[in-house]
Amino acid sequence: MPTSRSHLRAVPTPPPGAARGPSDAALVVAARAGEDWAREALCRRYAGMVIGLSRRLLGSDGEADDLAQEAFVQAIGSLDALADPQAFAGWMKSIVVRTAHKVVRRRVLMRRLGLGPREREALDESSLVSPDAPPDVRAELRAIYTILQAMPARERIALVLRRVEGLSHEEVAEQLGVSLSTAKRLAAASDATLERAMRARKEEP
Amino acid sequence: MKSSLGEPRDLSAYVPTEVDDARASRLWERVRSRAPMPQAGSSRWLRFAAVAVVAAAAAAIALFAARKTAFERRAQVVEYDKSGAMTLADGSRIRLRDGGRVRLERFDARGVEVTLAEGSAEFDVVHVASRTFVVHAGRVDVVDVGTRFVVTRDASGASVVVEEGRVEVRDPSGVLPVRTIATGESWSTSAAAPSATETASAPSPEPSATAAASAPVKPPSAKELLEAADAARVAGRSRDAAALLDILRRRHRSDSRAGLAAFELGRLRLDALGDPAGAVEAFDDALALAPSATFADDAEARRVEALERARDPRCRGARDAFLARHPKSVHVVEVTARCAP
Repeated sequence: MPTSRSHLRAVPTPPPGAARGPSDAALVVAARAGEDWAREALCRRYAGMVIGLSRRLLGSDGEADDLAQEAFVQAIGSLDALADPQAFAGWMKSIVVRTAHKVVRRRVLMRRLGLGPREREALDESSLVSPDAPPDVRAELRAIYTILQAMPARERIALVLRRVEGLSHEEVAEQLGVSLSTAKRLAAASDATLERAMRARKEEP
Repeated sequence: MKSSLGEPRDLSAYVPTEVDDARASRLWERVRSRAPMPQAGSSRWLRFAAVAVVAAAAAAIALFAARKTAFERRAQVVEYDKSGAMTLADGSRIRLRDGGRVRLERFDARGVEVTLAEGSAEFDVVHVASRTFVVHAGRVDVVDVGTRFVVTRDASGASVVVEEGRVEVRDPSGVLPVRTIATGESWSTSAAAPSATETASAPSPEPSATAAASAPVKPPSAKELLEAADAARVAGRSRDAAALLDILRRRHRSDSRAGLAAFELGRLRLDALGDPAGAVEAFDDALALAPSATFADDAEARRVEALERARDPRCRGARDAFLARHPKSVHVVEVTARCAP
């Protein structure tokens, strides 16, 4: 069914090395050497992946660019810490995840101190979810983005990584920089919250 | 109680995000303005280390092929394949044909320059917006606009065949106009016999090349102007780049790139041309052309800087207006410190 959002399209994540042109490793080596064109090439190559992940983690298109910018600045500033230059994509994703975690934590802290907006900004979950999504997927995503704002920061990030990105417990642990048992505990807690939300939605008249 | 949720699956494609070139460009501009730039002293060691890594890889892969090449700076060649094709550090490939001999003159952030000394070579170039890739072939330069082309030198001059993308053929002496050759097209200095008038008016060592001067001239598009301005900027020709951006914003005001062009023009006038008053005018125009663009706060912040440098009395008003409009901008600290009494 065509809607006003039908122009939106998914931006596929480029698998490492699949993009045309120099490999990620070549770009990372050149960027480390101070070549500005290589930094730009990395930024442009992964802009879609980083902005997309930022949007899914924060549930907001407006804030996605700010988070992407912050993540790229951090990545470029710490390229020397990347052990395997060809693994840039995964490394970049983990920077986005950890930066998103900081952003959400800072926002919660500011709100507690009375420095941020008193009310949580409502996420417009209907604008986030593609109209092409099957009904069960749409229901799950809408439930996720409805409960997201009220969740603790780490639980919230873990929920998106697991239920939107489809990552395993091991991958969530790696991206968040926590132990496997912590990742499983976070998943259990966020799944329980999600399940309650979905049940409540079903019971709505 | 057993969970009613199914196994997690990848639903990311159902939360779509539109990221076009303009959005990626704006992201890069903001990242570049904040990311730490390499220092000259330390980058020398970093460059040395990078070149060492690249050279080691090249040496390992190319022991058998090294004798076949005429590259003087092999460190920038990271791979040779069995056919003798070379891959540069940026992924661009050069395949020699018909006794081709090339020399890598330059390989850095601003540009790559290759001289085709003789024979023929196929170039498959990775196009990077912020740098130029030039093949010197006799009296003409072939400038990549992206991506695959063959250049041949012979007794009569040079010829170019574009297999994919576009190139520009330029005459550094300025006698010949710039020609753009697109996919499937070819160009040759001996393709057409010159008229007597043209030959007389163009005393060049390869007079037959003047045949190109008779080609019809098409007004440049906004995209072409922006690309030409980028090329001029990275080549250090700031005044040329500013002129091209000025033409773009004036001739193509309804184009989505006009606002960005005005913003870039302001930056050039402020940073490279020492013209803060002109920069204020360009930033004003950028904000008028694209008031809600994501670079609007960048343009406003740079406008405050330009007003300060121009000692314009409007500076404090502009600063206060910026801080009121963009309290969360990354430029808040920098702008707050401006326009001191």
